[in-house]
Amino acid sequence: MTRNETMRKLNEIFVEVFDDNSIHLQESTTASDIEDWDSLAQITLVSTIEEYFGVELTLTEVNKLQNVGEFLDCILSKLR
Amino acid sequence: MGEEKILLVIGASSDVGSALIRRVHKNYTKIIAHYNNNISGIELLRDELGDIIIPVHAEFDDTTSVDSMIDFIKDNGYFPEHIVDLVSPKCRNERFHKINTEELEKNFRCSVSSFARITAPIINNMSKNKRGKIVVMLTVYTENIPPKFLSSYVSVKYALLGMVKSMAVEYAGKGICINAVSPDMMDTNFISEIPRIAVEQTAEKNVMGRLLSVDEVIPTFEYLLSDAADRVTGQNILITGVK
Repeated sequence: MTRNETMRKLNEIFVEVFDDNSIHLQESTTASDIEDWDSLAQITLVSTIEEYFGVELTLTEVNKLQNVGEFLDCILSKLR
Repeated sequence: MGEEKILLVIGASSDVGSALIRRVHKNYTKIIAHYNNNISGIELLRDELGDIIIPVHAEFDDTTSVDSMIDFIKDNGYFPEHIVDLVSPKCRNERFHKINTEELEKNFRCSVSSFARITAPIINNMSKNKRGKIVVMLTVYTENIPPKFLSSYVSVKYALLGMVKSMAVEYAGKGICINAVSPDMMDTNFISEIPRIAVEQTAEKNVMGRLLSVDEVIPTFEYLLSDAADRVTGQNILITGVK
């Protein structure tokens, strides 16, 4: 899966989790750019990402993620 | 044959219930082991410990089923001297503004109302005998500030805590001790529906850096059921872990 394809799927996941069709992710998007992106949303995002991509993100990895680009890096490193 | 001493374990097929029964069975002549959908856990106990285990089924969302369980206890003269209640609602994360009130009501029915419905006739018998012990499992979240997004689960546990304390003061003069045990998250099947990352976060926050094991919690139940706790009532004992 390419970076662009992964980004498109990640956008779909964000739209579903936040129930907000207006979300258009950039690699620089952070939790402060999306109103409801809090600790609960983070858990739901990680669970949904893990389920869709068939990967497992560790708590240490998740705690380090600063923006969507780093989410992508993490997912892609697991898919290789 | 000596005097009958009966323990009722509500939610006996859970990991905590099975471990508790294995730990304390020698203190009782009969253990009434309530289960909902996990008969295999009870059958295992029965295979291991024999006829001392008396399985009883009840679906706590159904008052008729609860009443049948009470009738079974009464009709057989199985009035327990000790009760342990391990029934718990699902620990599911949700925002309060999206709370499922039907599920909330079901949780209250299954955990709070059913506990009262079952315990009321038994405690009446305990009062006549001037002895009895009741231990209810709650959660460490009943102290201080609970985590976010668990309003349904935490509310049910607080309601039970209120009931434990109210019952304790009401029956202290009747020789009945009523207490709660409130462990931090344990490594049991109960957490299987909680997202893995949330479980890991909880484990990381614990001073031990891991979840509690069932074996670390059971001794507190054993103590509260023992003669050593004959003067302990109305307490909520937290088990948080020590490094």
